Amino acid sequence: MMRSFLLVLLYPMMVLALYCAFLYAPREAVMGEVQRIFYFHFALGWLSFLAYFILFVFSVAYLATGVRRYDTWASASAEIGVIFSTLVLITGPLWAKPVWNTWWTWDPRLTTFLMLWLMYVAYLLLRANMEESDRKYRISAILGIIAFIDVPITFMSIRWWRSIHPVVITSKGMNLEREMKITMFVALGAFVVLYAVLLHLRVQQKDQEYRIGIGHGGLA
Amino acid sequence: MNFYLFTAYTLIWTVLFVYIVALHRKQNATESKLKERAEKRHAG
Repeated sequence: MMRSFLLVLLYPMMVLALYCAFLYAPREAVMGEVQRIFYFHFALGWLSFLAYFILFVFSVAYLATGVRRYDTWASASAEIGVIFSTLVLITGPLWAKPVWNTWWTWDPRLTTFLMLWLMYVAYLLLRANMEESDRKYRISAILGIIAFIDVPITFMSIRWWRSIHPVVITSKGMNLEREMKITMFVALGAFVVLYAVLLHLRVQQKDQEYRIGIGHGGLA
Repeated sequence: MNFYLFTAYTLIWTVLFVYIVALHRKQNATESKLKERAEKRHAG
């Protein structure tokens, strides 16, 4: 029921997000058309942070209570977070090449985000290579909590260190035109719904897998 | 359309599509196993 509602909401929101990104938002004066990558790149980046935050919360909950279902939510969120982070790491260089004239630079934001991605990939690999047991859930939860330390570091990296990565959200507000801001929030909303749909689906699948005893590892 | 813009959005949708197809296939496999198990239980 909940998923059907979210799916009904997802389609118009994604169409609206695409409409806003390509037609509603004005052409950026300096970067031109390539700036339109930003709207989905930003949304995917924030949703990665949200997915890792959910993973962190459920990891803490698992360690505090030992309830297996919390581990299911945590691992489902990690998987979606890695998918979204991968897309951030793909769209970022595609924007950077025409704007910075390089695909990649060891900038603080890029480096900390890559570290973040590597840690959560390690989290999934670790889970995929362990037998279903309380030990697996406990180790995963500890790794999920430790890896989350990098999320605030990644967010603050462009403020703490010298970085060439654009700063959109500053203490004075947002460095964007009104239409661009609206587009950014519409894309963010669409990806929040997509995340909720995928999380709901994945948790349900992992529960089913657990019931029939085939474990609840990754997609392999 | 700009090459980089086109590539970025194409890759976003391709990765999401592949992920959703993989989930769908996994769901089918799990459901058929659940069905098989229910049938065995019913027969037994």
